[in-house]
Formats: sequence, structure tokens, C-alpha cells
Amino acid sequence: MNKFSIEQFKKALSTIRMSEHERTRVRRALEQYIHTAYTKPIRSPFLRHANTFILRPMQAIAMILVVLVSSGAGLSYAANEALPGEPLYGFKVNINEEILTIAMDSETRAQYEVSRAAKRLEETAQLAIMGRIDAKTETTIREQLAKHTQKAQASAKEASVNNPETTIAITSRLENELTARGKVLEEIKAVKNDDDASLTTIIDATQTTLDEIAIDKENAIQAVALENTEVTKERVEKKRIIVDEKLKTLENLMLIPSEKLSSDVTQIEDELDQIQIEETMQDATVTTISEASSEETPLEAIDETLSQTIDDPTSIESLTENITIIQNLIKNADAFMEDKEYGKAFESLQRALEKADETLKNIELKEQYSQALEDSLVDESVTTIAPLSIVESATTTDSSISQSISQETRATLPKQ
Amino acid sequence: MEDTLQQQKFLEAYDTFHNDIFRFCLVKVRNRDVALDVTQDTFTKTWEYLTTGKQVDNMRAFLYQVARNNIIDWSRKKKSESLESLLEAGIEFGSDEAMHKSIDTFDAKHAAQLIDELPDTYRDIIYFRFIEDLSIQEISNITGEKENTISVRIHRGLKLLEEKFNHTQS
Repeated sequence: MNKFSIEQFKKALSTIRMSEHERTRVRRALEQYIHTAYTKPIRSPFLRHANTFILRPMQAIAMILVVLVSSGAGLSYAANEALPGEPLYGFKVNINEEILTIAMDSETRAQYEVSRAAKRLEETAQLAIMGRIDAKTETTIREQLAKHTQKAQASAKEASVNNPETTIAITSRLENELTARGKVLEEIKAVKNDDDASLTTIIDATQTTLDEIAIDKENAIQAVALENTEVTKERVEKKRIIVDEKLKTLENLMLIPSEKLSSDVTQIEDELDQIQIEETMQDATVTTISEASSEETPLEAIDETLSQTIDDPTSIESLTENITIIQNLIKNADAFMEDKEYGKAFESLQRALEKADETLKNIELKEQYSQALEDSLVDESVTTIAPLSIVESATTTDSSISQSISQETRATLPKQ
Repeated sequence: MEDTLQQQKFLEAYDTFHNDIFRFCLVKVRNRDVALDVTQDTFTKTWEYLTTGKQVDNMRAFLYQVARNNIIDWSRKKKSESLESLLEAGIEFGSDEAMHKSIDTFDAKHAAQLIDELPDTYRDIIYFRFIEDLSIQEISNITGEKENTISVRIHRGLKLLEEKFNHTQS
């Protein structure tokens, strides 16, 4: 018989921890929540009204618009779901979304415009899957993308008057969001396997935007370098802590066997194979075997594309390589710090941070991609549903969706 | 800039305390998925509180307080539904096997069950004091009970826990 000891309880319960995946997912959901939810300290009711109606006429106009929109709540709600080319799309981007920006401070506005730019590419993906991109919608999307990007950069510059780091942070996020969604568009293009000129134009426009963003970021990095060295040093040290944390997250991922990380995908791919076999057998009863096997089924197309077009970011090799790059960048930053070249140190750490974010984002997208494929198995129209799910799950910014994604992942955990 | 600093501090709090809050939630709700949801909700509500301009002196204690309230809300909702399925399923301490190979989850289950069997008045106090090493003052802030009351309950609660433990051993 064991002797009672409270330490024994403590020791047993201390084993309860979130897995690294759970930790990262909840953190990401929170990051999205705090970046997208517009919240400011509540002022006194008197001041709030004074500001709205006397000092800030634009806010008064916004409020009137909100009332008008609320009175047509159904219209407003319907507009939120509109895609480019649909009647309510203009209402969505010019009224529903614009109203929110009026009362935002410059940094919040910049973050919001980044989300809007990403949203435009999500809409593009949905349209591409449905084969509904024409010259008109393409122009609309490109114009909107350019508008949001410019606004995000302008607001970031405004916000960075006192802290140039703000511009770097915002342009980096913009870069990450557009890169990830650009990849989704390319994957859709590959799955569809047709020469959609409009989609190609949008992908090219996204790339051009990314090139411009890179220049903007470079300028911001130089601005940091020219700043007061003591202040910069402090920021570099803070940045170093953040980078270390990200590196730790990646290193923890290394502890998870690669089979576990990609087990979902493997399982789904096995199921796809099984379905293909069944389909082929069914086809054989109504057609000749040669006919059934000579044409590539949609399932094969997706399966093939999955293996050909997507690098496996969850592989141990890929993680090891990225971790090495990040470690080298940190070493460079340390060397620059010793030489008191804080601007360069900051730049190096920023790159390390981006690399870490990119790696984590790729892992997340890969997981969601596998989930989308799994969903597609329940429907016969695989080619349509699977990519739609990819877009919905891989590109949404809503925290509630993040929760549902977390639940999907949790469902895969062993029940004891 | 102030907002960015606040966001950074908040995320630091998450990085530091997420496991503490998750553990507390899991022991209380006995379901991993629910515990994760409640943990996320706890941090979301804390952020909402912070953005009203209010200050939090002791973040850890504050998070426990929010988590505790969330769990109470969850229990109320659960009562209106059927608890049977959850209770039949028992505790779901499912975790990433690959990461916790060395963990004997039975012990954690066993410990959580024994603590959970304590009367309401002792359960949280014992947990906070001995599992999370909170001070009596911190527990007082979380539960709203007087420090003297807490001291007495710690003593009695510990005795009860020992009795329960010995009972299971025999």
C-alpha cells in the first residue's frame, strides 16, 4: 500500500499538458482574435458621445450608416457572403467592411486591411473552383487587392511614426498571408489543370504585390537601423525572445515522429486509393476495364497533385532544414549585436521570425488540406467539394472557424 | 503602440500559464476537448477584460478566476443537457501519445478523480494550494473566501483527501 503524499498528486497531475499542436492552435486562434477584434478602452459615455457627434463627424456618419445597414440586416448579412461579380459584392466591400475602418486607429486599420487582402484571395479561390472568374471579376479582385495592400501599408506607416517596427510586423504578416493564399490558388490551378488566364493573372498580381511588399519591408528595416541605438537594442532583445520561443515550438515539433505529423494525410491517401479501387470495380460492370483505367479520375488528379505540388513541410527533413536556417540567422544576429550593429541584428531576427512563421503556417495549411480531402470523401463530387473545403478551412480568419479546426484535430487524438 | 505592447504581454501570459489553466480545466471538466475550449475561452475573456482598460495585478490568479467562472457556466449548461454520456465515457485525458509516452495517465486520472470527489468547499482550495502552489491570499482572491476560512479548509480538505486515498489503497 502506498503512503499518502500530496506531492504524489502534484507529480501525477503535472503530467497533464497541452500537446504542442494544441498549444499552437489555441495561440493562433488567440492571436487572430486579438488582432482582428477591434477593442479600445471604454471611455465615459459623455466623452464617447462628444467625440462621436461633435469632435468626430466621420464617426457620426459611420453610426448613421450602421443604423441604416442594421435596418436592412438581412441585406447586410447576405452581402457578407457575396463573391466578386455578384450584385451584393459592392455592398460588402464598400459599405459593410468600410464602415468598420472609420473608427479604427492606424495600426488596427493596417491589420484589418491585411485581413481584407487575404479575404479577397480566399474569394478568388472560391470563384476559381466554381470556374466563375472572368475578365470583369478578375479586374475587381486585382483592384481590391491593390487597394487593401496600399491601405495596409499606408496605415502601417502612419502607425510607425513612433515605432518603425510596426511597419515590419504588418508587412511581414501581409507577406505571409498573401504567400499562403497564393499557394492555395496555385494548387487549385494545378488541380483544375486548365489554362485559366484570369486566375493566372491574379496569381501574377499577387506575386507582384509580394515583390512590392518586400521592398517596403526592406525600407522599414533600414529605418529601424537608423533609429536611436539604445531603443533599437532594446527592441532587438525583445525580438530575440520571441524568435527563441518560435524556435522552441519548432524544435518541439521535431520531437513528434514524422509519421504522426503526416498520419492524417497518409490515412486519407489510403482511403482515396481504396475508393479508386472500388470505383474502378464499379466502372468495370458498366464499361470496359480499359475505358475505366485510361482516363484519370478526379480522385487520381487530386491525389497526384497532392503528392506532386505540395512539398511536405511536416517532414523531419524540412523541419530540420528550417530550424538550421533559423539558428544560423540567430547566430548572425548575435554577432551583429556584439558589433553593435543593431539594425542588421534586427533584420536577421526578423528573417528568423518569418522563417519560423512560414514553417508553422505551412504545417497548419498542410493539416487543413488533409482535412479538406477527408471531407471530400463523403461526397461524390470530389473535385468541387475538396478544393472548396481547402479554401474555407485553409484561409479563413474567423476565430470560430479556428476553433472548429482545433476540434477536428482534437478528434484525431487517442481516447483513453 | 500601446495596443501592441498589451497584445505582446497578453500572449506572454498565454505562453506562461496555458498549461496551468488547461490542467485546472481538464481536472474539473474531465474532457480534453471541453478543457481546451474552456481554456481558450478563458484567455479570450481575459483579453476582453484587459481591453476595457482595467488592470490585472496577478495574471495567474486572475486567469484561474476566469477559468473557474467559465467552468461553472459550462456545468450549468451541461446540467440542462444529459450528463450521462460524459460520465459513462469517464475522464478523457487523451493526449498526444508521441509526446507523453512516459506519462502514466492512470495516475493523473486517479489523482484528479480523488480531488474531484472532495466536497465543493474543499476541492478548488486543495487544488490551488497543493497542485498549483498558490498562496492563501491568491486563493482568497480567486474564491472570494476569507483567508482564515481558507486556512481551515486546507487543513480539513487535506485530511479528507488522505482518507479517500487510503480508502482506495485498501
